[in-house]
Amino acid sequence: MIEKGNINTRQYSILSLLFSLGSAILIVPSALTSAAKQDGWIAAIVGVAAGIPLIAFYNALGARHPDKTLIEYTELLLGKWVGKIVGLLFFSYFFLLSALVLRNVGDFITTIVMPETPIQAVHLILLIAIAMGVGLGLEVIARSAEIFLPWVLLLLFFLIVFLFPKIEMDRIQPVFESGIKAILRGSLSVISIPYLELVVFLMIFPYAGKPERRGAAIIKGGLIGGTVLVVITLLCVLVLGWDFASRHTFPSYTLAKKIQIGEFLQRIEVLVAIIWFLTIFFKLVLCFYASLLGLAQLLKMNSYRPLIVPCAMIVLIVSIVVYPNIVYFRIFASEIWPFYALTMGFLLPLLVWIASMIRSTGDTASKSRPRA
Amino acid sequence: MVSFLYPFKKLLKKGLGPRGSRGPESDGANRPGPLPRSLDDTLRIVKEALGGSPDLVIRRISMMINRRPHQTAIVYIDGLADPKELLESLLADSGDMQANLKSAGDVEPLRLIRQYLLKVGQVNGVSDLGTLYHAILSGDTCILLDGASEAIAAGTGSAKDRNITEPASQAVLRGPREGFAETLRTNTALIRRKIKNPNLWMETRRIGDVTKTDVAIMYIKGIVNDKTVNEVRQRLDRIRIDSILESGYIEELIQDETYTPFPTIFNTERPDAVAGGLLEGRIAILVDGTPFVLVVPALFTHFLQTPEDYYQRADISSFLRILRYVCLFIALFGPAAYIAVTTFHQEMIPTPLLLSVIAAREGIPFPAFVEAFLMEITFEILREAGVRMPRTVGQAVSIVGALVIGQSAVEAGLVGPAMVIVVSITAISNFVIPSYNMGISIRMIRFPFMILAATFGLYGILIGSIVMVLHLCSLRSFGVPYMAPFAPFIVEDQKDNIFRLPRWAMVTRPRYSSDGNPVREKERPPGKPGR
Amino acid sequence: MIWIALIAAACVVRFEYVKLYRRKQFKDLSISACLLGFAMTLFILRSAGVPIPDPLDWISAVYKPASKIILSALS
Repeated sequence: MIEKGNINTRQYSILSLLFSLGSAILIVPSALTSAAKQDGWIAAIVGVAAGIPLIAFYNALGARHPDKTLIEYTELLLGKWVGKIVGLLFFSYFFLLSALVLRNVGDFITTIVMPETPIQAVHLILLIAIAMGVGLGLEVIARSAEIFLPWVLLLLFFLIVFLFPKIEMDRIQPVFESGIKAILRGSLSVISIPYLELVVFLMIFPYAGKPERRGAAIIKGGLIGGTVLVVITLLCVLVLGWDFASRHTFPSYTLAKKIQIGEFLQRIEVLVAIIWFLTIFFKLVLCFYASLLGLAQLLKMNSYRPLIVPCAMIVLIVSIVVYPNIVYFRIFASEIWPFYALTMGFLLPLLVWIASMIRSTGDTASKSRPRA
Repeated sequence: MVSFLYPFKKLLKKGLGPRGSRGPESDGANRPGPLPRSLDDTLRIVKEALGGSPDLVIRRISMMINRRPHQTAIVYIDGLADPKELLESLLADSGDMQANLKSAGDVEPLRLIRQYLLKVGQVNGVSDLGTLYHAILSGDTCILLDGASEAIAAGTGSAKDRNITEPASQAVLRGPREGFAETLRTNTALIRRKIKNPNLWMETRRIGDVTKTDVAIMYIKGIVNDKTVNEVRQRLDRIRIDSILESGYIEELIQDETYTPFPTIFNTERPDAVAGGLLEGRIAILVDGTPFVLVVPALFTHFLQTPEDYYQRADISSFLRILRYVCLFIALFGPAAYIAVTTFHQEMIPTPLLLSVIAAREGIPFPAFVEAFLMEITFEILREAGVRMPRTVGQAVSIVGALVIGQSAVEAGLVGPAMVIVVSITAISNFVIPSYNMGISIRMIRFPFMILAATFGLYGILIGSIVMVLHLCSLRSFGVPYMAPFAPFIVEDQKDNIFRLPRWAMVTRPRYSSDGNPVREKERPPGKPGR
Repeated sequence: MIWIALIAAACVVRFEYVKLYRRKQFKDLSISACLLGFAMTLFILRSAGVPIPDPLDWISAVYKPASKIILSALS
């Protein structure tokens, strides 16, 4: 056991809520509306509906080995060589996720908030905060999530409530015009971001309170996050119209620009950007944590701490290298990412699950686990 | 060279204080030896050990005991001890003391004096020199008998103590106007007066190799968590230092983390605050010589609470508490937000205000950050100077200084009026924080936030607050997470966190500190108590 | 950029590696040192302007055919 942390189930669901909101709320509405036009919100609902069984599947897998992380029992079940390779694939998934999420934040800040700042600087100070979070451990991350949650919820509430005056219901018409195929295509993006990425939570599954309550907690978080996604997409269609929403890279931010209270409270979208930023921070810290913990467990190290700075440096470089411009990213995110995420987030865990069933012994929680 | 590197080497090992730099130990003053039987020898040794100090009073008396004269001497330090009654009882009853007792046979002289003669309450036997010195220096009068192996230390300490007045640093509008004084006994008595319960237990120790300061722990047995008491005992016993002059020394030596700007031990001058803490299951540490008492464990919320919250009505207290949290944010983020908004996010300011702000900043040669920094530093200088100045001069100078400097700076075009307003509001908000050490932490943390705001705008402030929250969540005070009950979120403790729910709802003690006895009182029907 | 990398590397060596060495956890130390070396190489390459291969390109290459098939089925 490398991690001695212990978080309770409420913190677990808060983390899954923030994770699901993470970068999804920033990029997904655009993908949804460009695929399904004004039915983007229906595609979102379909995506969430498909995502919940996925989370349930993750729970089933995790519950078979309640005190081991994904990478630990992968190696156990699939044998030394295959297990290590699959584990490495998982690690690369988490690592790449971290780099991509970091790049999302950097793009967001340098495009919208501070265009004159070099993106490396933005990444750098964020990585310092991430490294600190990971270094302080899972408990501290969970507690910070508890402290920031009210702010995220409050700002979300303001965003939604203050946009009500700007809704025009006929922007949603005609309903179901795009047809089922387009809706399915749109829902792919919701499934891949964030639900296929929630496999990350299988790395912190063993540390999250009582085993029988973990499933409900993560489903709660994923469901609430999904609902917020649906609402935001709906608002994007209702307030901006599907055309604008699909053109903007970050339509939810544009939503915030529309807020106007009286004469004096306008253009406060930067405050609303805090929501996106905090949720992405927690998503990033969890992905990075999962990748470090996974690597440490793969290589049978005593602790993941020596890996923090070198991996952070690598993430920094990879995040810059990973795509040259936003167009590349949008194509990648809508065409390639869902399938890559499907393999990593569904097929590989399915493989592990099948192996677990074949071996037909799962560790039950009654076996005592050695504490580091 | 060695002493230059020493503090850096020390920084690398987190410790409980400098280890045993055993100070002036070369003389025999600290090596306890047995009491010499001869009176003259003893007196000579004592005089030498105390360096022939003129306030050491030695009075030889010849007492008739068992129809024989015995040489005795009384030793005390003038100013610390008040042996009037003692001297009366020893001198007035001259003549044959045994005859006074009407008993046959010889009585051992020491026992006679000790059990029958002394008109003081606390009497101890002393058999070695170390204890003798400590007794004399604590204000006891020592009675030495020629040929006896023991001496008697009679408690006659009556060092003049300050009157009980309202503490200067922590005043309330409603509530007792008592503050601790400098004597340990007075302070423990003040607490005992508030909690007249036999379960209020006290333990003393002597800490500090040179100063030998008395330190007492108080707690309510049955409410407090025994593990925490053990932890406090262990940490106090581990202290190796030559002097304890103030509770701040102890605070630094027993706190959980040294590398944090946030205080993890609460200190107060008010007995009612300490009593409230004891009733919640916390532990008080009193140090002789200072009115500041430490209360442990201390969480973040405690530094934003005052005892007055419990004396006023619930709605007023809740409002004031929320106000304090708002002021916390203003004090922390005020200048940083101003810098960020005027440098990076001008679109957030409503247009009319923006025009006047820009117009005001037109002639100012400095960027917003330098302007803010200058004003903040000036204000800190004024504030510190105001604390040190003699009271007569202080008021005038600080008002004039602030007004004149502020006004002239604006008119000279060095700073903008908006900046002056921001700095003043920030400073005033800082004073709303009831606890001075938390206020200072906030003052210090303001500056890194300003730097972050100047380089990265609101994004920088966000990163800074994330780092700060991560740091806060990693702190523990004697094992309890510092940010409880915010995180981990304890539902039943929210009644006394940001709001203060009415009296009928305050049924349980805070969960972290009262494993022993969480329920304050038996079931009480809510609502008006008159029914 | 590379200055920051150097400072970070120096901090790691000073704070983490000394601790690891004293605790004789040589495996951790060597793995971390390898990763650190790899990271420094990347930084140096980047500062020198050498183009670094992009993992997303590799992934796209692998999944492009599948993507084409499934997405055209959904159009």
